[in-house]
Amino acid sequence: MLYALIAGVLFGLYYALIGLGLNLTFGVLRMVNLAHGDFVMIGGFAAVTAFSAWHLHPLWSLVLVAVLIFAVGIALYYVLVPRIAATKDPEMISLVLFFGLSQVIEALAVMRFGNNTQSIYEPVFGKAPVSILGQPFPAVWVVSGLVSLLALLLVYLYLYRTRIGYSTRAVMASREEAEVSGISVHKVSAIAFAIGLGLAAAAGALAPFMLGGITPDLGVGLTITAFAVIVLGSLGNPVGTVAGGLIYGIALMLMQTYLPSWSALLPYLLLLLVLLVKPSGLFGRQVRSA
Amino acid sequence: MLRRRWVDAVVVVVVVLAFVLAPQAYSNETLLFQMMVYIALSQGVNILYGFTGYLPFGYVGFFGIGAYGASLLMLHLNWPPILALLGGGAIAVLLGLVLSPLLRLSGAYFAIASLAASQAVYLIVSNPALQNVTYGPYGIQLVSQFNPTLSYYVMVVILALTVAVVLYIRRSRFGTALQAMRDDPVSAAMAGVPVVRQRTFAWMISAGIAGLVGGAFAWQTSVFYPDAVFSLSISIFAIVFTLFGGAGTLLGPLFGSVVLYGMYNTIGISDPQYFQLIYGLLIILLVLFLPDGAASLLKRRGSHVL
Amino acid sequence: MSSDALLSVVGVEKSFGGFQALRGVNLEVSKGGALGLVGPNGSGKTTLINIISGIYAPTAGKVRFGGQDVTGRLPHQMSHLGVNRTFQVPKPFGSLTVRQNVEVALGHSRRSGRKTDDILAFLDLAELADREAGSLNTAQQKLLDLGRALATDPQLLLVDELGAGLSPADLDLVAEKLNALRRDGITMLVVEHLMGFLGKVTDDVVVMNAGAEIFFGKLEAAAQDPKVVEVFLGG
Repeated sequence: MLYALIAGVLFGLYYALIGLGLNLTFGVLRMVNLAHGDFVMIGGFAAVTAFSAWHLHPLWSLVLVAVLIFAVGIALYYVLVPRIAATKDPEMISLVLFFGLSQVIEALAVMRFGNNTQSIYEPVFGKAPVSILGQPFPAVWVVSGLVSLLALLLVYLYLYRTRIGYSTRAVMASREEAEVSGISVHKVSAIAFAIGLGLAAAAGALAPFMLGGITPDLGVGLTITAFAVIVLGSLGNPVGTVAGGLIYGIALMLMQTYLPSWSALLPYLLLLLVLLVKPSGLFGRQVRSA
Repeated sequence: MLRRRWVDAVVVVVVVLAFVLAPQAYSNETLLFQMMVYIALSQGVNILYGFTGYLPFGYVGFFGIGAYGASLLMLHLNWPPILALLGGGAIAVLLGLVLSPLLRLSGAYFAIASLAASQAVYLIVSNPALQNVTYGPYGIQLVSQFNPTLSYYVMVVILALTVAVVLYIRRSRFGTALQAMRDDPVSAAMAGVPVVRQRTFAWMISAGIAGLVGGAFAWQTSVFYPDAVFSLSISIFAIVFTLFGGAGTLLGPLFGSVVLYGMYNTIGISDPQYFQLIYGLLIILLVLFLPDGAASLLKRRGSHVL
Repeated sequence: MSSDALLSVVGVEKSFGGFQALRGVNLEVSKGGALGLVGPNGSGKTTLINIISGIYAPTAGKVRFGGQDVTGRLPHQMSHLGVNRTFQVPKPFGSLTVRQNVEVALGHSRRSGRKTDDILAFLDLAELADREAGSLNTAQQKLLDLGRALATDPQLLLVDELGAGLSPADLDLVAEKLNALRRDGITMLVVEHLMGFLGKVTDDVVVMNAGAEIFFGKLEAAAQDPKVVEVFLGG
């Protein structure tokens, strides 16, 4: 029980990291990036490839791929988003568009990497388990948990301690008001969108360990999981995402311990339950009744 | 009004004749059957998306539950295939009813929630713990009921029914109300339209079609694993075919299914990723440049598209 | 409560999360009357209209219509009972024709409606009958909102800033139409910023501020009321 709880916290932090980027994007753009999970997948393949080709440590890959995907994100934003925002129904249009993007990424990944599961099997974080409260955990879980925590902290500092972060929160609160008060909404949104993708890719670099391996079709499931996590913690609220991730992680570990054959159902059931019972999330104020 | 009825009747007859006669000219009956499957499924998506604006990413859930419902009725209760098919359709409608609270969610939430629902149904059906009921991950074998010819013609009937339903919806007050709701649900409610009930009704019709089609697919295929009838790509195909042809019309999704599924069969079967790449790009380009599909090209030139 | 009130709103409150949009509003509209509703932006006028028309359920309080408690009824039920409205930002069925817009409402009305052609003629929309509603200009779309409302044969019409954005000539025309509807026996609650327009179509006004009503009486008297003056000039 204690083991499952601690493991749940470690995985919860990791899932918060996966969800956080999606939530940032949703917060500023009011769009659900259905290709989010595919950027996690890209990060994963990048780490696996860099390790097998140059023996690059996954933590280095994490930093590199996050920066790289951040740059891609900026470009992608300016190519796609202003166009969608100008349409009649940005919410649905963006959903379909990002879905198309997700299909393209998945197809390219199959062409490049094939359909087999790839992973990093060498114990790059050492063989010795790390002991927490007397319970032994694989070192990589602890490292992933800590890295996720660090990333979450950095995002928190960005949002609450920098000028542009302040603007970002203003855009999250109301795009129109922010525009009127002279904030350059596109710049702020592009950066938030790119950070979102960068975070996804960073999480991806740890995915070979935390998710057991990488396949090109990982994207859709991860996007749903990320969506479940952020809906749990309330959409558009980055702090809530951490709570959502923790709940999800602990619930997952408990399921895997006590009901292993049904644990795969968890993200889907959790998502449906929250959407039907309290769509504003467990920690959210009521959103507009749309 | 009378002339419209004639047009409708002619369309249904043409579709039926096309697929009744096609096996004489083209020997790959399986491909023709699957083309009918996708035409019917994209019309099902069309009823929901084209007329209400709700995009069911999880549409395949109804297809899968229909396939399993029909199969299990044949296997466990020895129902004759056609009756079992109807049973599968009914089970899909029931699932639609159970999931109908999802329709209270707004667009993007609904799309993702429906996806989650279909995954949940898949994981339940394929769960090893339910092996005694659903055969779990080991799949279904309907060898004793195998009848490719009869199941082909039953599928023609289902397709004809689907086309007739879409035509009826397009012409009816119900269809106009659905379109009104898609344009503006609040105004529709103030105009006296019971929005949630009408939307639920469309959702259940759409679910029933997928359930019947799923049952027919199971019967025709007769041996399949759960992932074959719950594969997300089935939803995706139906959605892409609809968007490509033009949602909200009858001929758009029909055109989309025939053209794109034909294309899939020439380039896609052995290397599906190439086709996936093409339709992924197609989706992006459509959304950016032709959001109302191929049908809107004709409409722009002033033609009326059925 | 007077016996001839068609609509009474009793202690209605509405909060969205932490924000309290209405803090206990009371008002009555007598049968055949026309009440104006004024107040600064954010004072809760549109929220109140949304509650009366069934789009929101109030957090507390009651809405009575024709002596019946209708609190929390759904919009289509209110429409069937004979309550309808226009919208501040017009909400047409953009992909349907003007005629179809009206026909949808007529087809789902539970009350003895007017004829589509009469409604379109009354609102000067007859020539546009076969145009897609999405292609009309804002003023035309506002009239179409009104037309759709009329198709449901309302006893009570909630008019939400119909005048905003209209030219002075159009304003007079619309005021005239509203007065004609009143003569037909339709009771009205009119939200409006334009006082001249309001003076033409209403008898009394309620002034709202910060989610509560602060004045009830003649429009001219409102201009003299210190509380009202403070809200409009001092705020």
